[in-house]
Amino acid sequence: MIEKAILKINPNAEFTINANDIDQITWLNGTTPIPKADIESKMAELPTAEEEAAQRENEKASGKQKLKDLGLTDAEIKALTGA
Amino acid sequence: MAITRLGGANAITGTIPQGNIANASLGAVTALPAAITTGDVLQVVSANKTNSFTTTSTSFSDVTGLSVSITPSSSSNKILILVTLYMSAEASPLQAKLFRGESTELQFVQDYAVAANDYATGSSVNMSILDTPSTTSATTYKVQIASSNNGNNAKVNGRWDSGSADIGDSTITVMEIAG
Repeated sequence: MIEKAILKINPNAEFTINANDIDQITWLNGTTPIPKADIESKMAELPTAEEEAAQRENEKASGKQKLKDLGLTDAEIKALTGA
Repeated sequence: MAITRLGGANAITGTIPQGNIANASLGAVTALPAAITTGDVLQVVSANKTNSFTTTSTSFSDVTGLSVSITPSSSSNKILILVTLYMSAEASPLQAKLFRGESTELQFVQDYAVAANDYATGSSVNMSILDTPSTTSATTYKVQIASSNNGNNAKVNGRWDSGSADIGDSTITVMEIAG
C-alpha cells in the first residue's frame, strides 16, 4: 500500500521500504523524498486489498457474461480464459 | 659443553615458538595427521527475515535483515553460504545478488519463473556457494535485490502488490568449514 501511494504521487520514484514501515523508506538515485503526510493522504484514497480483489471478481464475472451474450458456450469461455 | 647426544624420546619437551617455524619447512608437509580433520562444520551463523522488503529501483539494494557476520578461526577454512529468498516482482525476472563485504559479488541470480503482472505469484530464489575468504577477520555476507524495471515493485517475503509478508520467511545461513 505504501509503495502504491508513492508511485501514484511519483511513478518514477526509486526507493526501498523495510517491514512495510513508512518510517523505513530509503530514497534512491536522487529521488526527491515525499513527505510522510502526503504518502499517508494518498494511501487513504487508494482501494484496500479486499476492495481490489472484489473488483477483480466483478470484472471477471462481467467479462464472462459478455462472452456468453456473444454466444460462446461455457466450455469455449473456459478454453479461452482458463476460468 | 656441547650436547652430543639426546637421551630418550622425551628428552625435549615444550612449545616451539611460532617464529621458529619456517613456512618453507611446513610447505614440505604433504599430508595431515589423521587426527586433524577437514570438512567439519566449526560454527554456524544465520539470519531469518520475517517482514517484507520492497524496492522499485533497478539499482541493487541491501535487503534489511538479510546479512550475517562470521569470523573464521583459520584463514584456510571455507565458508558455505546458503540463501533462501522468497520473492515476487511486478516485472520478470526476479533478481538477487550475494555479496561478501561491500563489493565482492559472489553470486547473481535471475529467476524468470514469475510471469509479469501476475499479482498472486511468488517464488523461492536459492543461492549457495562455497567461499574462501582467506581471513580470520569478521566477514559479512549480505543479500541484495533489484527491480527489473524502474517503478515496478520487487519484494522479499510478500506478493508485490501486498503490504504483508505472506509468501515466506527468507534466510541466510553461513557455516565455517574446516579446511
